[in-house]
Amino acid sequence: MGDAYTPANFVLENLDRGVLFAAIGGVVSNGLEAFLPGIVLTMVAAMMYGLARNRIANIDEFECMESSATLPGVDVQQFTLCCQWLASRQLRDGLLGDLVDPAIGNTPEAARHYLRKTLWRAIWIRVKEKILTLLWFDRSL
Amino acid sequence: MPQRNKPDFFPYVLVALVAAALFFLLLLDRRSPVFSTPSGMAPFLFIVLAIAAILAHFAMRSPAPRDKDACDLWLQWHRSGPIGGALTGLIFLGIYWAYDWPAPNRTEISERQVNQLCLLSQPVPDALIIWGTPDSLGLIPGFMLLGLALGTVVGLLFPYWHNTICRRTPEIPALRWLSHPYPSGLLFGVLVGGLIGAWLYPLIFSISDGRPFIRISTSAISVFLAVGFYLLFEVARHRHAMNRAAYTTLATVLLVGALLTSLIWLLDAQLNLSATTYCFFYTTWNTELNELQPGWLPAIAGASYGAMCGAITMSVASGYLIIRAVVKEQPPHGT
Repeated sequence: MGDAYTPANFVLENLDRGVLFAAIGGVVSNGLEAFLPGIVLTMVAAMMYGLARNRIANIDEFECMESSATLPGVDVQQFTLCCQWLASRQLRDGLLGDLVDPAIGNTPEAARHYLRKTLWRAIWIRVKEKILTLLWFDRSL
Repeated sequence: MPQRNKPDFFPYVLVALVAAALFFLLLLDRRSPVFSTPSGMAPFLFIVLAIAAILAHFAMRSPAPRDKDACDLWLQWHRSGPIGGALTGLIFLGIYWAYDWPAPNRTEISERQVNQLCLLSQPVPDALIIWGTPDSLGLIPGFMLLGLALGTVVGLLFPYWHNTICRRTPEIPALRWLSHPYPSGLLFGVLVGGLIGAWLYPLIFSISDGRPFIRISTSAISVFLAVGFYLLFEVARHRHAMNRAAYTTLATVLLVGALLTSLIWLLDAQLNLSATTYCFFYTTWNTELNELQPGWLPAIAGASYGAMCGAITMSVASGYLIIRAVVKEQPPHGT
């Protein structure tokens, strides 16, 4: 998120790591017994943690945002909300900036299609990178 | 400095803690285990606690919204008693249902098991045993009304008690320690809880038509969770006035309550206190006439049970007074 590496960030990163290991441990322990409710509950809890953590990390970045520009065919408010919970301010600004390109955002349908396609892929890559970093595989990124 | 308009996340901390408590109920509820083994359950508990920690971290770093009546309790004394009492009654019933209600893999303490549990001189014949179980949802009004009534009594009496203690004890050096909210609250809890227990026990026992006996550990857990949540709510609302010493006091108060509850739970599990108490109550009961047999022992047993519940309740509830005293002594930073 581009923050300075403070002791609080160090603690939070280790908490993230703990949650990831707990999620893996919970899925494996319940999976060995083929216990689906336990697997699902553990995964849902881990996802809730991830959502809350990302939303809190994004609060300052989204706070001082100027009023949203209107883009034809794009519900910017909904897109912003989506980015607040699942992604980041940089991703939001980057994707909306891409729509200025006439080759991408020439029609409302094309703009919507581009956002749908790119946003989920970007979120997935971000999650994957975060997991690999927490598992100390960040050198392979 | 102008107040920043940040969303108030602290209530979510409480929701997360409620979720952790509900999880705790699932842990107790062995009827249909949600997790395969304890090792499969521990990671879930860790993640729930991590959610609570992350929300608490955010709440502590963000300023609380200031109201014009922020210096007051959310519920005034005369209102906190009945409302808190009714909610306590509801939480009590929830935990009673999760922990004590009849289930295939649950050891029930009730009249149905009396011949197996208690060493009676002569077994109770089947005709005298109540075999049916009442509808647990139908118990909600009764528990809430009883909680409301008890909460009203405590909410009205405790301020009088504490003010009187604070006024009188400086004259008697040996009792000066009682003017502190914690011993004052604890003594109040023991005395009033004992009185209520001695009076309520015959009433409850006479109408417990096929219900399982409320375990001592169930009562301890219920009152700790109910009063603990109220304390957290008040602290959350007044967190702009909280300082490091006040947070330390809050943690200490909750820790003492949790330790007291755990101790009662452990003693109950190891020494089988609930079953022994039930058998003692049962032997003082005339099953044919459905009334207490003469003597002081049932009242003493009821008073002990009530005193235990009162001590836990007031040990956590008086925490709010201690925290207020700490805030008054050491103003928060930046004020």
